[in-house]
Amino acid sequence: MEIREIAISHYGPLRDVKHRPQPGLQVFYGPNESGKTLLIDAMLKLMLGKRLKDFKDIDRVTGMPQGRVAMTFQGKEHIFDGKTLLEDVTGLSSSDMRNIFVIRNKDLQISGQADYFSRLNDQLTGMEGRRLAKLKEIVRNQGRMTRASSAAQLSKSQDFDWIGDKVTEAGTLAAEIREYLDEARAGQLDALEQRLEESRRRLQTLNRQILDQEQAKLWEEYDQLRRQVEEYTLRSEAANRLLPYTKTKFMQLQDKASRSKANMDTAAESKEKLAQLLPLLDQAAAELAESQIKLTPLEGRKLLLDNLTQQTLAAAENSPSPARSFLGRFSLALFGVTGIAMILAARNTLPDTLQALPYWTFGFAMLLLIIDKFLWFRSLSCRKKHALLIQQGAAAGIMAETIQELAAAAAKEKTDIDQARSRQQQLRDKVRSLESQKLYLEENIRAANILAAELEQEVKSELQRLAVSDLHQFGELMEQYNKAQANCDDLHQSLETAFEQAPARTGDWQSLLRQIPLPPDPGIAYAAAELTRLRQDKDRTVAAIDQLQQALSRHHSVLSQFAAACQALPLEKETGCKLPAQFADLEVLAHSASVLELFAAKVTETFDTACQLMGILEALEAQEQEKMADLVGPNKPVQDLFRAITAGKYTRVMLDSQLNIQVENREGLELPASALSQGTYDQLYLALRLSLAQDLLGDSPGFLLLDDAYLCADSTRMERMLALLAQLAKSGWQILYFTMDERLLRAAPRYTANGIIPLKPLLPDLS
Amino acid sequence: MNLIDSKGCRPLLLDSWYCQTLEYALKVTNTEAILAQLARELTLHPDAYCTLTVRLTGYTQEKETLLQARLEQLLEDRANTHLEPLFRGAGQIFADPLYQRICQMLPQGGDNSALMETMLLDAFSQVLAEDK
Repeated sequence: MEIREIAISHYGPLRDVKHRPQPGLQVFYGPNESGKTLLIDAMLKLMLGKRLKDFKDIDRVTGMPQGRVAMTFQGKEHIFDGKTLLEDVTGLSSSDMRNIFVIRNKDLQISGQADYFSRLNDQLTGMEGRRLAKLKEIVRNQGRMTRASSAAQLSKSQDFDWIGDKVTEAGTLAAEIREYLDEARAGQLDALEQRLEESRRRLQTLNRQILDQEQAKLWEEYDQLRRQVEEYTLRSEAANRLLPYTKTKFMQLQDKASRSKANMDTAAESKEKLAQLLPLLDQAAAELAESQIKLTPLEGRKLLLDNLTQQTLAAAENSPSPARSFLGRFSLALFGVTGIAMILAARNTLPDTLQALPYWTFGFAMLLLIIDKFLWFRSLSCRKKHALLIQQGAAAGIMAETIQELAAAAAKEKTDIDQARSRQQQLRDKVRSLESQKLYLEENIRAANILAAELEQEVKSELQRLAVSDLHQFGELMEQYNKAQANCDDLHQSLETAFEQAPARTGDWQSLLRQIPLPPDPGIAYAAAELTRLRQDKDRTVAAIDQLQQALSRHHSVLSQFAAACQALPLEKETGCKLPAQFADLEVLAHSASVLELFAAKVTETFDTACQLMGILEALEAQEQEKMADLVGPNKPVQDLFRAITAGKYTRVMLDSQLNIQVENREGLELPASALSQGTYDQLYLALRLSLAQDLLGDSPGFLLLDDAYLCADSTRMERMLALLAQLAKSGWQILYFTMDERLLRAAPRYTANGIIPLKPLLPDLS
Repeated sequence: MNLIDSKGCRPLLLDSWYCQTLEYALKVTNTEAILAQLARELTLHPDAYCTLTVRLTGYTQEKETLLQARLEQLLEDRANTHLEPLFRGAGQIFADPLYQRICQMLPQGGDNSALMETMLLDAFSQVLAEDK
């Protein structure tokens, strides 16, 4: 195994680093900050990929480097670039590299020493140290042992749920139960228990029989209900068939028939009235005609009378006033007064104030006289006119001597004519009224006849449609319907009481019946007396059980305590037997004691078996331990190597029982490795590493990567170490030594012909 | 089947439906014996009357799939039988040199030999599972 080339194009500050180390001891020299450690990091990452769990502080630069490491192994060249890995090619793991082939920061210790030795031993010898250790731990858990040893005890720790204590507790509890069983049997509690058990069985039987009877009752009630529903359905269907013959329909038809008859009666009555009316109408018409005949000639005379009356009245108005005679006499008196006044004036006896009196009276008398004469002429004209009118009246057949008589006679005749006209008008009105009544009656008769016929037809059609001959038959059917409906209503009430509700759809009792789950057919007939007897019997049995339970109450309390104690133990988990939460009787209690004993026996048996198995595993392990010592056995290279490095100061390397390294000095004193000085300790582990490497690789030489592993060594020890490395190099190993130590730089040429490979500083040297 | 009640024990012909579970624990060498026993006991529980559960636990040297196929073939005519193959194939364990070495050291014919064998198989099963 030889590294032929290291080529890193990019890893953190490293750029385009390329080295071709020579076989044998190859020293790389560089001051601080020249990238020695980073270069080793990059090589490890390229060789091991991501399997770097054994290396600490390897991620000073995160990520994978770009580059490769070329290595020859068993005559072939391999390129490791982070994808092809060292473990896949050589079988060397990350822990092998960490513990043997790479020495960094003066750390030569072996990581997880005991475990690594054990694994390495198994790997090298084909032995089973690690698997035996695992098996022992599993067997310890199986047997719930205090430790993985055949001499262990049953654990009483929480790790195993205090199983040891529980086994002890189960044993004690089983003993207590056995003792109590003896006491209880002596006190004939078992007899009481037996009676109680018999009573309980009797109660169970009674309960079952009662249940059967109740189910039978339920079945019967259901059956009755079903029959009622069926009967309701039948009756409802029957009623539905008669549904057209309802009372309402009957009343409608009856009403129509009545109205038809009433109309016919009305028509008959109207006919009768018409018959009475027609003679009256004829008589009135005759009278009217007669009146017309009489009145027609009088119409011309009435005009004459009107004219005569007007003239008479006008003449009467212009008749001479009676005042004319008064005016004549008064004017004569005034003429007398005037004569007297003039006489007095002539005598001068007339006072001065009345001197004008004769003149005034004379003038006034003259005026009155003139007026009187005017009136006289006018009266004369009137008399002539009156005479003419009286002549005209006479010509018209009205004999009168004065104008007033004429006027009165004319007026009387005219009144007669008016009365005749009025009478004629009355007759006309009467005829009109009678004719109107006649028309009304005729119309009434016609309308009543039509309506009566229509109603009668409707009734006939409806009866025909309903297939009945007449209303009487309809009435009979209606009665049948009413009876059917009443039956349905009775059943409805009964069903509503039974169902305690009405169906959502009227009459749909079937749907409600379907909602009731069909009770199972008990196969027996329901007997109320039997059910009552069974219930009474049950009450007596319950009372007897109560009495027995009271007598056994302390006993049951003890049973409960035992049951609770058993529940606290993992009996079911360990034995597969589940105990009830309550113990019913001594039989169950006895069973519980058996289960407790079984529990203890099973746990103990498992523990004993585990101890026995542990003993076998320990025997095998002892065989393995013997072979483990071969790792640092007397024929191993570590003995010679360590002896040579320490110049014979230490003569032997060995492992103690805990797989810790021990050394023996030339005086025969055995020392643990930790008691050695730092330098000797490093030498010991270098020797051990080389020895283990030879074990791992066999005759095939390997390589070492050292990162200033001897920086702290004094010059003498360094020379000795270099000599050892040179000797190793001669045997075919390749040692790549990275250093900043100028002492080593000066000493190296004495041990290797290979030139020093200088490493350039990553940062410029400011000095 | 035998019915035991207050009237004592008496044979009863099962002609009504019932449920039954047959449970077998496989060990290193008893696979064939268990299969023969199962075949015998199946005849006692007619498929027409019985919902049968056949549960097999423990370890077998045979491959799990092969043994399951043999069991299914045994039950293929039964419509009301449910197989619960809870056994584990332990061929890898039996082939393990360390297991063989331990077996050679186990006491033969002891009262607890079966238990010890089971414990050992359980332990190896765990170790192999961890190593995977």
